[in-house]
Amino acid sequence: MKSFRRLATCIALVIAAGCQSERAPQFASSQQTQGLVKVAQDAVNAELEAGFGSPSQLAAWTALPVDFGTFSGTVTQVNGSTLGLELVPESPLAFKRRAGLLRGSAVLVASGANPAGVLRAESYNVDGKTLSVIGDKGAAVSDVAKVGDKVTVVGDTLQYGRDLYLRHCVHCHGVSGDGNGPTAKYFAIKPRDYRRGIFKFTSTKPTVRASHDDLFRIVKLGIPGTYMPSFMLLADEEVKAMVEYIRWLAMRGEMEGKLVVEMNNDFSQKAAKDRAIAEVNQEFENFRKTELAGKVEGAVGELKEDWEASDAEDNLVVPGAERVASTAESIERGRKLFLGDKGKCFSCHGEKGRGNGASTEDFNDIPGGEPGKKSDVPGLFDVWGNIVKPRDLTSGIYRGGRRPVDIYRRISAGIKGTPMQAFGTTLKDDEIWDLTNYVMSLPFEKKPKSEAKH
Amino acid sequence: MNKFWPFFFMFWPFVAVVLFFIAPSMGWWFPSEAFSPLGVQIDNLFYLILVIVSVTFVGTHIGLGYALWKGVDNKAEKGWFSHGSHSLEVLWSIAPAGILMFISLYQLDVWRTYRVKSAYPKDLYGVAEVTARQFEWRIRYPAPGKKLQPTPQPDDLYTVNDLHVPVNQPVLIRLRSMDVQHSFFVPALRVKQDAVPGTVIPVWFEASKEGGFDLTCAELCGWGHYKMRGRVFAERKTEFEKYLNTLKAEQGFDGVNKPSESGAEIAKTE
Amino acid sequence: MSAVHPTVGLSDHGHGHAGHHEIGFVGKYIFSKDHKVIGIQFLITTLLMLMVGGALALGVRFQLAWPWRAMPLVSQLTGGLFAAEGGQISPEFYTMLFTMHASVMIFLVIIPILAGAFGNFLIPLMIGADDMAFPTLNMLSYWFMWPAIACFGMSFTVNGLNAAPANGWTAYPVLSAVVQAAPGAGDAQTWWLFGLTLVGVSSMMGSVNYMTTIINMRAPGMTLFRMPLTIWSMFITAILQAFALPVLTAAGFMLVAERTLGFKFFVPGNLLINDAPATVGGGQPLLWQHLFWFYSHPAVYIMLLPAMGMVSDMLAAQVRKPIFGYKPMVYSMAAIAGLGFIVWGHHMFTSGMNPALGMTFMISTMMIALPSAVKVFNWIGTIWGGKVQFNTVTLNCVAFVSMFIVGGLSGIFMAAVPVDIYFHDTYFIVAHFHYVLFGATLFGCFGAIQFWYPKMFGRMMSERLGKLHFLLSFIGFNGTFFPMHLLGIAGFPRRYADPYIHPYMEHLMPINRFITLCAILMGIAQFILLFNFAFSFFAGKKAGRNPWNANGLEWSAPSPPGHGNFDVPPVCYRGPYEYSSPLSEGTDFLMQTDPLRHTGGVGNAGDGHH
Repeated sequence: MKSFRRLATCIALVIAAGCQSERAPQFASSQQTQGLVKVAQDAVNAELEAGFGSPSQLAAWTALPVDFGTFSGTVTQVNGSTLGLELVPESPLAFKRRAGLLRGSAVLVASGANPAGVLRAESYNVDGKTLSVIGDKGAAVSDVAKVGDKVTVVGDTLQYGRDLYLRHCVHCHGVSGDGNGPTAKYFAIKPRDYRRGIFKFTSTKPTVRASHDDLFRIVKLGIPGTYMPSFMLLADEEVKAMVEYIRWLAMRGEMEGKLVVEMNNDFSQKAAKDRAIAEVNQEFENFRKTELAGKVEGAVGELKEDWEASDAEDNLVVPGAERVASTAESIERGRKLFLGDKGKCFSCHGEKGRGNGASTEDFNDIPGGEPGKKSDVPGLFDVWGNIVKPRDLTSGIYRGGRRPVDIYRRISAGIKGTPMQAFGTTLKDDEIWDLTNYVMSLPFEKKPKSEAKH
Repeated sequence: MNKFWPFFFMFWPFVAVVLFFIAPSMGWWFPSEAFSPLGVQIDNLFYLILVIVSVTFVGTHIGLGYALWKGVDNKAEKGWFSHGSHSLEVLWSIAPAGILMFISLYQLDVWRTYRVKSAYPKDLYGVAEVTARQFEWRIRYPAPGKKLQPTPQPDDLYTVNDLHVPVNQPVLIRLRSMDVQHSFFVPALRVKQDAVPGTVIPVWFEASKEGGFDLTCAELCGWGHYKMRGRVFAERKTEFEKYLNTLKAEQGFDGVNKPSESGAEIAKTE
Repeated sequence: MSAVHPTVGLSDHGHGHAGHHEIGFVGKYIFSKDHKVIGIQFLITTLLMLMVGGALALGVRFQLAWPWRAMPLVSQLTGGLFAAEGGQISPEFYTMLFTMHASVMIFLVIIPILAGAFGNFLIPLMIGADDMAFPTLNMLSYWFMWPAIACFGMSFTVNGLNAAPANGWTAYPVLSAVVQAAPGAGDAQTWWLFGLTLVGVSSMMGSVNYMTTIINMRAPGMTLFRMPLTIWSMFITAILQAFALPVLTAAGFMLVAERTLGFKFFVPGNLLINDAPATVGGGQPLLWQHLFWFYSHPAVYIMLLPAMGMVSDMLAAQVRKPIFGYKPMVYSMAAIAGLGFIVWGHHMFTSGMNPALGMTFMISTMMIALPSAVKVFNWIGTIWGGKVQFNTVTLNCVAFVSMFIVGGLSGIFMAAVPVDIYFHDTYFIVAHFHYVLFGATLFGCFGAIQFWYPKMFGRMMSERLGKLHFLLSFIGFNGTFFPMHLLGIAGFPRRYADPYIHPYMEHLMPINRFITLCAILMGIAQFILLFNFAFSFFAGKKAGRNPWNANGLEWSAPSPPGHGNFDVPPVCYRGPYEYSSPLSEGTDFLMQTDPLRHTGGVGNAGDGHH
């Protein structure tokens, strides 16, 4: 049963020629996976390989909420290995102008005599409306596709995103999206590790993932004050393809994390330390046979739910009221909130908003660590285990954007994965706007001339 | 066989000259014609020097080749016993000196217009402050209808990597750097100016054609030096004002009165 | 060719040197104080470094031709040795490649091969001295190279084997001054600066030695204007070194102090770099550029003048003619050296310095083209009417002249400030200085190796291999660097790891691939040189004292010369370029040591005033 499911949902995509060197990029296992016993590690890797493929051979797991880029059409003619058909973009991210570059995408024959048949696209002639294909595993094209069959071509966008990612992003964010590319080790602020599925600057509610628009905006505008540069001049469709690949990488990482959580109790090296290895292996074999498929299915379900929710309109943080005019009174009210007990902003951002509040010098909880256990070094930690500095609000540099709504959202929904918590429930709309006005006025407060901002 | 080497040394300048002739048609030439009045002057200077240099190049190589050609053939028992000629030395000192002097004086004006403040165009419009940082161009416009101030103002408009300017209008940018040295290079406008940390350098240029021109960094600024892809976008004055107003609406967005949600609006690429 | 001209000297003077005593292997070949051994040590070291620098350059070329493709060798060693992932090099590794390529080529190849190798070997022999004035200092000058090489190597190894200075060889602050600014540089930049200082120490010891030796130790009769142009060029170079180097050393120490001790010479306040606290202080980045180029522009001539001198000597011997305009040659070298000190600003036309300075530097820069032009005309004049024999030496010398013309002429574009606005830091510049430093200097050196090899080892180098090496190098070189002019015109900036992300450069990838293939050809060709060098040591044809029938004093010494150089102390009777003199009968040369045909004024090298 399981293998049938795989066959139906996973389509391997071969990358364009030229990248097939023996040193082709590989996904790396996470540290948590490496903490499992060997058989469990192998199982996790096998699941990931089956569902996601490798960077050079992506798999389009259609159960995932990812737009792989789908074209479709009906075969009007079969001529050797060329199909006559007009391909029409079927999903939003199937970029029409890339239709001529479909090389390597999987061609699913979705109806007709042999619905499970898979071909691979070689090239599509946009003017002549002909698609050259090769049969998968040596299958003859004419056996698989017949005139009148409906055909879907899947995966172009993901491949496009992958190519762009390997060119523009990989040096910092790494092949696996673990934020640990070769260049990353020199940065004071670490590049995002996508594998938790958490992105810091979003427009969505505190527990919701980042939306397509959020990621698009970050890639386009960059994150000022960090080494995340702006990719403003990449075409929108390039950025969209990149974002799709980044989301896909995040899901891959999350899937890995979820599987490890399932196995960690019984099959971590730590848990198996005092047991005979044969016994552990046997037990794992049972787990693999009886439970694993269900766990994978469950995980995919969660991924689908979480990531689809991120784009839902009612998960967007929308202020309940228009911005309060930035008057001296509003700013003053904001200042009081900033310094008051309700917001306690000063405890991290400091009384003058310079990002040097008292808690930056405390020993704080490490997120995800044992409850109550404090860090060895003073500072505030994010969920990735890095020390984060509260923003110096006088610098005029706003990482998540400088529109009033951006500041509002930072206060209302917090910054995900960091100690910047959501104040949406404790503060009223007016109060958040007052606070926003105060924060936005900070760079312009009178200060010594030599500190003129940048 | 004796003549192979003289031929060899005369052959390669020939190849070089041919290469320069076919280069423009192969796309191995200026990325485009110069779309700024100053750029046109720079191009003219370039072509003038190119002609002088090519003539010299071919001339000296013909001389060299001829001397070699005759030299291998020299049947005389001994070479020409000469220690030189005073008048020749004088001649070939004075002639190049004259040419070089001419080149350097001829172009002083262009340099002066480009860099000397008192020679700047009268109707310069201070369009924006461009702050280079690793690895992008941060741009600060004054609010529509206001003048560019040396220090940031609360109503300033910000964007990144995409500098819009009015066409056919000499514009001035205040160029600065937030971290290391960069260089503001717009090949199509023939503009280049280093952004030196700690200094604000005024740069003026005038785009004479509407459209987007690539902006790159021309001074090594770190590992991501090549990533600093930007654009100077020249458009009609009205379009430019419209752009600033869009930017203003975008920047003031409070999440309720909706101008645009994604960054797509301000980051249009064609 | 094999005619050994007996040196007829005043034999009753006996041996003028007093250094005959037994020395062991170490003293003779390793810590040798003999200028010839030191010269040869320098030569072999620099040839090896040439291969290292070449390999680094090929790394740069590979990335430009096939961006982000798995780099041969490098991608096999990824993880431990080099920063990379998935077979791709990382962008900062690219910056390290070109930085170290330039550093190795300039400081460990070009400068030491000229002054260190040929300067050492030739100066005493050509002026008729038994050794340098300060042999121990001379030995130290070589042995200071090794700590320098070690420091450069260290700069590759600290921070876990994958760091190196990533700031370009010009090391412009703020990038080079603030540790956080250039990832991977870390301590590497500091080691690099120490290496630079050590190279400086080595050069300085050489320079003091050369000046003293040339002034004080010339053989009887060797007046200043009877000195071969090689000696003049070495002399002028030594003076340049002595005056320019302290500035660089000082600047280097300032930068080290800035990096390690928190001084603020070059970094202004309020810079935000890599999330570090804003910088404090009031430094000025342009200060470094002024100091650096105050040395490094004259250094360009340090990297060129000796080759000019050697080519003059070789060319005269190969075309059997006196050099055309000996004195103008000397004066123009002196003029280049003098003007060389007041043109440094042309590296900074776009730096935002005072525009009036730009004008001044433009005029002085244009003027420095003049003596260069005079020299070119004189070389052509030298060939004119000569009896040209095309051997490897001639070929390399003619290539020198031809390439120098290109390098010189392309310089005029950059000297013109408005045009330089466009060309600054594009591949036009890269083409220009490679034509001067590789095209001119290295071809000169290839010729010089072939020419003086018999004097070094007593055997001739293979002509066949030499010509093959020349042919491949020449084709590879021009194929590599000539198209770079076009890249420059197309606005292709230097030091870009992936230029093709910019739409206006996308179409330049094929031309870059062609360049890379030519560069590989050129790289392979250098193995022929190394092979020829090693092979001829064992199997080369034995050479007599004067295999080229040349005039210089060095050819009157045995090949190779023993300790103390001359078996008979030489006396100089005339200038070095009396080829084809009507006074010499039966031969077409007249050695400087030949008293029989001593004829007073007529034979003196002059500038044609007669």
